[in-house]
Amino acid sequence: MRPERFLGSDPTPGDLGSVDRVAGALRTVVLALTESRQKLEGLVGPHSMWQGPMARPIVDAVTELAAHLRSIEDATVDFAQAVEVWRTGLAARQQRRAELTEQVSQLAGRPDAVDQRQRIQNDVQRLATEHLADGAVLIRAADLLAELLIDADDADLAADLDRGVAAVMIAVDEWIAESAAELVATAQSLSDTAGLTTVVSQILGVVGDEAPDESESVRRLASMSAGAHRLRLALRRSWASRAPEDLPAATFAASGSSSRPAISERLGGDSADRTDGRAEGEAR
Amino acid sequence: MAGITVLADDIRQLADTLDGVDAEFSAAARALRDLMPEDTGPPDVSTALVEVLARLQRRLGALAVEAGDGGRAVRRHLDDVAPRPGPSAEGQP
Repeated sequence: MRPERFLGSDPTPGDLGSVDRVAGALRTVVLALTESRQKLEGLVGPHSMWQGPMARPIVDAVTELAAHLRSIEDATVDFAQAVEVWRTGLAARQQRRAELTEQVSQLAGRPDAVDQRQRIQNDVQRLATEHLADGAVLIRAADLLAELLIDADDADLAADLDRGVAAVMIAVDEWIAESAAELVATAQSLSDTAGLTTVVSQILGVVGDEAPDESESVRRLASMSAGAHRLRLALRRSWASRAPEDLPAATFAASGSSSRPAISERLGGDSADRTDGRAEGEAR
Repeated sequence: MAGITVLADDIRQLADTLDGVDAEFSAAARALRDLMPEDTGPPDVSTALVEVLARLQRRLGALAVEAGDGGRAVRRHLDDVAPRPGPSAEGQP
C-alpha cells in the first residue's frame, strides 16, 4: 500500500535494504581498519624485534600509520553506530507509517470521519518531523567522519620506512664489522660447531625462551638468517686481510663442519700452532 | 642492536604486513565503490551518505597505495640483507 496515495506524501522515505547495505559495507571497512591496525601495532610492539634506537624510525613510521588508522576506525565506528540508530528508527517509523496508511484507507468513503482523519494527519506530521530530526543527526555524523577524512595529512610512509630500514642495515653492517674480530676470537675458544652457534646467537642478540636445537640452529643461521649471511660476509672480509691465500672458504654450515679445520687453524697465525691442545679440540 | 636478529625475516614480515594492509584496504574501497546508497532516507540524508562513503572510499584507496608503496620500499632492501633462495649456504658469497 503506497503511503503517498493515502497520506499525501511519504513521511518516512528511505529503503531499509539500502541502509543495510551501507551498514554492511561499514562493518567491512571497520574490520579492515581494525585488523590492519592490530597487525601493524603487533609488528612494532614492545615484544617485536624492532627495538632500540636504530629501529626507532621504523617503529615511529608504522606507529604513526597505526594511530592514523585508529582515528579513522573510531570515526567510522561512530558513523556506523549512527547508521544503525537511523536504521532502527527508520524501521519503526515505517512500521508506524504502514499502520497510519492502513487506518486512513479504512476511512475512505466516510465523510463523517473528519476528526479521525485529522488525528491521523497529526500523527503523520509528527512522524515526518521525527524522521527529519533523526536524519539531521545522521547527517551530522556523516559530516564528522567527512571532516576527519579531509583533515588527514599523510606522512610519506615509503620514504620513512626506506630511510629507517637503510639506517638499520647500515648499523648492522657497522656493528658486525666491529664485532668480526671478536667473533673470530670467540670462535677460537669453542669446542664444536654447536657451541659456536650459541655464542654467535648471543653476540647477534638472538633472544629466545628455549635453548636452541644446536644443529638446526646452525643450519638455519647458515642458510636462512640474514645475520648469519652478514656474519659470513664480515668474517670473510676479516679473513681476506688476515689469512694466507690458500685459506679454504669459510662456512658456518652444519654439514661437514666437523671435517673442516677449526676456524682458528684456518685463520693461521699463532692459534694454529698452539700446543695447549685447544686448537685440535676445536676441529672436533 | 639487541633484539634485531633475523633481519631479513623481520624486513620481509614488515613488507608482508604492509602488503596485507594494501590488500585489505583495496578490497574495502572496492566494496564502498560498488555501493549505490541512493535511497537511504530523505534526499539530504541520502546525499550526505553518498558523499561521505565516497570520501571514505577515496581515503581507503589512498591508504592502500601508501601501504603498498611502503611494502615495496621495504622489500627492496631484502636483496641487500639476505641471499636469495636457491644455492646452499655454502655457495653463498
